[in-house]
Amino acid sequence: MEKVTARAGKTADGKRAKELFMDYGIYVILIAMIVFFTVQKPNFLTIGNILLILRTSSVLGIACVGMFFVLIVAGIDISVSMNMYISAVVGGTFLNNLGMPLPVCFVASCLCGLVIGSINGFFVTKVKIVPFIVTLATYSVARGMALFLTNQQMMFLDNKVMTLASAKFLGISAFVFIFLGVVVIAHIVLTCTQFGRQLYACGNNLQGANKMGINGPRTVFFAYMICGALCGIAGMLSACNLGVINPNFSQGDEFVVISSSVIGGASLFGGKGRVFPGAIIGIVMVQAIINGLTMIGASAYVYTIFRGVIIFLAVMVDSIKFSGEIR
Amino acid sequence: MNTLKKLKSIDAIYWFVAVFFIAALVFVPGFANLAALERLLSQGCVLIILACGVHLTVLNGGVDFTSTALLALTTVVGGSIMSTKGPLGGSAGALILGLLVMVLLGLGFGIINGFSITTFKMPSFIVTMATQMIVNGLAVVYTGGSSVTGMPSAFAKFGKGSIFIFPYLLIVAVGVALVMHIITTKTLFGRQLYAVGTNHKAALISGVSPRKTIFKAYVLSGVCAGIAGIVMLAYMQSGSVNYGATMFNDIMGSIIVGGTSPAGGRGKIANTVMGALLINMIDSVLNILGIPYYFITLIKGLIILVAASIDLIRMDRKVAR
Repeated sequence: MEKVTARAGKTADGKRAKELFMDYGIYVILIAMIVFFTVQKPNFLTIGNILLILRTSSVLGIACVGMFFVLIVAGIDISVSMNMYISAVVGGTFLNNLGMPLPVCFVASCLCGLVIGSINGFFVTKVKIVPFIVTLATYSVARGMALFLTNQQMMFLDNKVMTLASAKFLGISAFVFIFLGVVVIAHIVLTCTQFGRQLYACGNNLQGANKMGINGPRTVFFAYMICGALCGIAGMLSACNLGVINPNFSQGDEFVVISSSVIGGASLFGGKGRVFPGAIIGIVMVQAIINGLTMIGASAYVYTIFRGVIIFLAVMVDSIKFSGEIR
Repeated sequence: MNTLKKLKSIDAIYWFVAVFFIAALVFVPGFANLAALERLLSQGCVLIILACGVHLTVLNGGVDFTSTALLALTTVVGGSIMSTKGPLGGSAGALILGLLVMVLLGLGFGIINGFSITTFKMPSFIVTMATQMIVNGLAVVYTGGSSVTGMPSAFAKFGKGSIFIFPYLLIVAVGVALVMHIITTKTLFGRQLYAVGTNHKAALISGVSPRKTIFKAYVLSGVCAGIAGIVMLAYMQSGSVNYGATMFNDIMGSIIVGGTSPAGGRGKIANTVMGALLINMIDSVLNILGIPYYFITLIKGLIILVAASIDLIRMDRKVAR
């Protein structure tokens, strides 16, 4: 009898340990890496570098917030990086060729992203094609369009963007505040509005949500649209940050965005995730590691492998957690 | 009447291939000569083999992004073993070892993919994207970014030789396609693949082990990538990390244009092979016409979208009936 209870206690302990590892294991690994970088390069944990990390995170962080919306409805958007590219090109054209003020350019690139997002949403909800196929196709279409618009040339942006890129408030780059603003709005939309609750419902159980009277397809469509619009803003912001749009602009960023969203607590199986603080934690952690790898002088090749490993681990933990859940 | 019915029962992809081929012969100057056709067939081989492998994973509702990166890794690793500049000096033993290592590499990463997808129940496209990056990174680390040259003469003969206008490489590709065709249509495993892809739960209840079936599909896909690596190496006579970098759209395009449902459970190998030929023809015609690279990217993306839409709309009609 005692033996049995002892064993039961042990398995419960084991289970709890497993759960703890699942919940916090990835953070432990990431924090260990950050400590490692700090020991290797004392410059890593200086205020200047932290501000730099925050600034670089802010750009992709906005796309990350968009990805949260799509992940919550159990979708995926691979086209984010090329959506950023084409939106930046459109915004840049408005800025350079039409001489529009910067806010107008942001609206233009936001609208461009919105259109791409709507195309994704249309094919996912109305034609019912698997999301990753749709977004894979829009990825190449958007890339083709952007390369066509720029004629495969580098596009140097007008000096006006420097005012935004160098703008600071309390010593912190304006980018960070834009990112925080987006996070706050997204958080309010997700937690305090009917639409937000509907997103979670659709992600958890689409058929159930439909039976409850939620317009499932419309909700999912809006999720893709929001993701597209945010990617548009992120693209223009990234272009302002760099001051130039080269032909391999933001290539491969979709993986950074997806992995940091999953690390930040969104699930690939949908219905989960809090933008605040998830999106911030996810993107800052990933960017900190990328920054650290650059600082210790790791080659770009190692970085590719490392990115793959991060995604693999994050998704593995997510999947193990999901298979233990009851829905 | 009867012949009309028979004509109607032929899958649309055959019509597409036939019409496109004839149109290209007539309207595209430089397409209609034996050398160009032979080149077309050789170039198509790699795509056919890769598409056949990925086809199996799509049948059970997944996808395998790793195969394009495996193509690069196997060519550089196998190439460096076989190479006359390598430590083994391009001997016959080195050739056999190289070929073996290439297939084993494919097998190994297939096992890793299959294992993580079945054991941890990870979504296949993310897993294979992650392994794609890892494999690509490994390939670059292995070579330091340079390409591998100096293939032994026996291997060069295999790569360039042909019987009439049929290159040896095509015979390999057709062989792989035939084996895959037999596997999907005539074996128990093949039937189980369709069953798992159509309805995972129903397959489980009727005694099929989805885990084993899915695992085998990824392993076979990995092996196919290894064989594709051999064919690529034989054709190009050099190994490079850049092979296959932009090929995934072509693979997915050939599978979807061939009428395979990206959601799983439906599709024929023969149609995928036809799809690969079509994509390849489109590619070479656009190249001959001097269409810039970005338009080709754009057109391929559109092809995937349109083909998948047509397929799903047709299915909807069938269900409605």
